Amino acid sequence: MTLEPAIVGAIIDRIRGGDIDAYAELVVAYQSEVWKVVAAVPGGMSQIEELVQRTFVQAYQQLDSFEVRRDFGPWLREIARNQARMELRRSVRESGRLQQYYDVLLREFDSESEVMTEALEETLRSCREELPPLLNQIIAERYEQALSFEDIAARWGRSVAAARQLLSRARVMLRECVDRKGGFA
Amino acid sequence: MNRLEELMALVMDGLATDAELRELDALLDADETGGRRLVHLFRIESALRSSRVRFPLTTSVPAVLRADQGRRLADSVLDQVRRLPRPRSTRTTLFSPEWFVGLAFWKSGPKWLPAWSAALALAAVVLVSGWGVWNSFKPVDGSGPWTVVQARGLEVRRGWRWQTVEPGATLEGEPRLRTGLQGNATLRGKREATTVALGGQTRMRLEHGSSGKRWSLDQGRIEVHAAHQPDGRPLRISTTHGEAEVVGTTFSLSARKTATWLQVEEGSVRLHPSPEQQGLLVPAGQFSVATMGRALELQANRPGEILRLPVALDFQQAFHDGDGEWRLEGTTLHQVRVSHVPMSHPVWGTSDSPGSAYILKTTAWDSIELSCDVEVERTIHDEVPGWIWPQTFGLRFYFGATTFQFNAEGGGAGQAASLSLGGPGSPDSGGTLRLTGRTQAPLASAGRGLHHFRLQLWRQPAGDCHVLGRVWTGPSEPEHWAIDAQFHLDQPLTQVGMQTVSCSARFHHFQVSLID
Repeated sequence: MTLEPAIVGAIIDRIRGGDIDAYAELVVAYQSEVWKVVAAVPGGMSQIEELVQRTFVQAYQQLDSFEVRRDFGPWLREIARNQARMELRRSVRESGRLQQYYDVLLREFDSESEVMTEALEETLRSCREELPPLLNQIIAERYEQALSFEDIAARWGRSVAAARQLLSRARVMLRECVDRKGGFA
Repeated sequence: MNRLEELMALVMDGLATDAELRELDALLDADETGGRRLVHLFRIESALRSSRVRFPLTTSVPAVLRADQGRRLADSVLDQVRRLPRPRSTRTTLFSPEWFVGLAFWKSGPKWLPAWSAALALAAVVLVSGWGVWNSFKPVDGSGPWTVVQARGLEVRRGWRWQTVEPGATLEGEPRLRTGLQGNATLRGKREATTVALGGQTRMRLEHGSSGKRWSLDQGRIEVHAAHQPDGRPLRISTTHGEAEVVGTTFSLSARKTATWLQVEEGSVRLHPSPEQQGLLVPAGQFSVATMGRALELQANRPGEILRLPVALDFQQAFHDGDGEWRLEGTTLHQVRVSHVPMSHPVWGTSDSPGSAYILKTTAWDSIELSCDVEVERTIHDEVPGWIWPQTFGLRFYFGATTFQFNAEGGGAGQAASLSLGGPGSPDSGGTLRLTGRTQAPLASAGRGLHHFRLQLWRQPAGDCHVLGRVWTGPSEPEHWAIDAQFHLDQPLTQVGMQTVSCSARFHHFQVSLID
């Protein structure tokens, strides 16, 4: 969900007038867009949540420089991409590992290709239909409903390690299916 | 699944350790298609994450901003104050020049003496201030032993100042740390694979001694994954109520005013109530509580109750239809205006009336206190001798599968009251705890009654669960989320000739607070 520039402008006027809570309306409207940008950063879900939150805080601090006639979404996504780049660089700097693979991700950030992303998502949707029902359900619980491994394990009466392994197997099957269908092209 | 895929999965889930990353790097170097598969997995992971439909940020971002704005306001005020001349006292104080040189010399000594003594005092002030400023502004980054992996609201003590620490910083020496209410942080050792995660409102110090690490947890909660410590040099963590001795394990430790909780996930930790006592070895899957006047004992952790960080506090207004007004201040929910529930029934029977209720929903807390004063006013126009008017007032909590300790009290002004605890669970919760006061007042007695309830709950063990609370008055607990004032007679009033009864229930005070 995104908002009309006039509505965004009105909200920003309220925020500039001291009504911080009005910012929650922008967070609600744009959080999934920001999430989609930073979701590519490898790491735990809580790390991604932290990045999304940091993006919104950063955007708030730069709100003075935002021209209300512009589209808020692309402006916010650029801040999110910057946050994601910084996080990736920090991760490489700290661990000193997987640098060449993270570099690939960095290049993808620099050349945002929505057409490519949409093609991948479309292939992924069809591949998910081919998964065994249990694995498809676990994918939904983990990614759509944002359940923790502990919660998933409790739902299915399995250990946390088993839940993680099922999810991992599902991802590998999806990767092979998408590859087979040319979704990574 | 082979080892390469296993390690890739750990990276995707953000769980890979340094050693596992090293191993993955080596395996990728040796596998021609490994790198391509990893990048494809990154892209799958990213696309899957993009399908998320539930987000937790609606309340958390404004909360962070409010805290941030508070800090900026304070900084801005301090900036302006610093530019102003310092206020001067005209009275003789402990630090007045007269005391440095003696009042007699001040009055009768040589003329250069006051100037000389003032210069000496100034030099001392400059030296002390310089030390403080150096410590305050000394950068946090350095070649110390702790890396701040993740931090929100983390501060380190520098001289007399608390200085904010950003993720990626390195902490040197023996840092003294604290986090705010919504804060949390994760530190990783640079020389060993020990990590420590701090929850909200935590204060601790990471020190080293000749016989191993000596940490102190003054308050709050930490989760530790301790690397194996050298023989004879265990990691010791002290709290007010005891000391945990660690060889190498994963556990959480929570220090509160009344007790210290130790919950062990892997390995084992010895908990000493005091240095001279033998202590109790707490193995994996068990927890124990050190508190005054209670022997240590082992209890089993329940699956899924391991404390997760970051902690989050979420008050939700679920239903608000009365004339009360509520305000959340810090962790306390106050009713700032009285909720008035008028009742007037010419024909009798059980009846609901509009009211207001506040539902407390929190996913991370260790203890909670709820108190409620209810005043019931009755005006009876025709006397009805001999009838008993039963009323109940109560609080009810729903909670997940968690064990509680509780302390409940209730009473009415000059009337009998009873408490009942327990009750059936709802389909989506693990059980209920009911606190009910019941009065048996003669119907003929018009007037006011004040009923007070207070309920304290301590979660056992500290963990992740939810609680919903509601308050009601009436003969039985209503089915919907509202404070109800219900009045009931066993037989219709027409049989006893009553004409009108007016009642009102005033909720003078309803307070929910998290207690430390």
